[in-house]
Amino acid sequence: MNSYLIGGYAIGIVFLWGYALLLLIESRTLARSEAARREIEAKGAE
Amino acid sequence: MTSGKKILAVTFWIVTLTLFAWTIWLLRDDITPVERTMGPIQKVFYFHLPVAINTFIAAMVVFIASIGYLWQRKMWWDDLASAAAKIAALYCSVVLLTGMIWGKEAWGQWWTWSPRLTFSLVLWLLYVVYLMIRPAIESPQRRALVSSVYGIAAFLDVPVVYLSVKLMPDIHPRSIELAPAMKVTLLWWFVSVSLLMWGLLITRYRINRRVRDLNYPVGDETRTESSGRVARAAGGAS
Repeated sequence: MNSYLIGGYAIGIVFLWGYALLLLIESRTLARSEAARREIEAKGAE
Repeated sequence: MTSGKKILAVTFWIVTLTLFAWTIWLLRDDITPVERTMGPIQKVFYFHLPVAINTFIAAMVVFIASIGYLWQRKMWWDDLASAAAKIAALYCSVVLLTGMIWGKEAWGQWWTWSPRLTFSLVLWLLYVVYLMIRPAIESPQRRALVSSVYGIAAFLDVPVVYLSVKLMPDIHPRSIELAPAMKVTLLWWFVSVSLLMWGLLITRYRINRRVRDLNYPVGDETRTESSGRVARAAGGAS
């Protein structure tokens, strides 16, 4: 296989699927923030 | 997210990932023949072209969402536009990088200031600047307004990129003759790259909505409407 060809696909796949992975991490971090906020709101309601 | 939606999302990502692996497998020489003029490097085309088309689709979503915001002044349009702008910038980066790698092997140079390449670089810069401008504007309404006007103007480069190779002398190929097996591979790559684009776009949009909900809780008008903090600060006029 041509090394330029492998490089082209590798860069593209790392960029696109890397971003998908970043979104997954961001989504999980956000879920933790939302849970913490709900907890604070529940305590406030008490 | 409800458990039903979660199952749907997980299924979608598994299907997309599997399809991507399948399309990589399709690149084998015994399935997709090597093009005679350019040789093996021509196979970058199966990735490069679908990513380029999806860049245009993402830019189109920015354009439509920007018009939607100016028309209805609903903040979800702005969330959609900013999500699509991120995907447009990401996909355009991949178009430029794969194009440069192809160019190095086919033309012997990484970059040349041909019309198609130059306008593609301009397109990338336009969406990078879009993403740089947004955090600099504090008011959500003003940010949405400026972004919408900019998003509409930025889209004007898309037809220029498309037509440049047809209307001006360019080193970039206008079209490539493909054997039936090559067309099938291209079609599969288009499906998998498009699925990934829509998956990323919808996920980014949902995250944008959740961030807005977290920053502007229930009861804050900025959450969904245009008549938010700025209007209240200006004396309550909406």
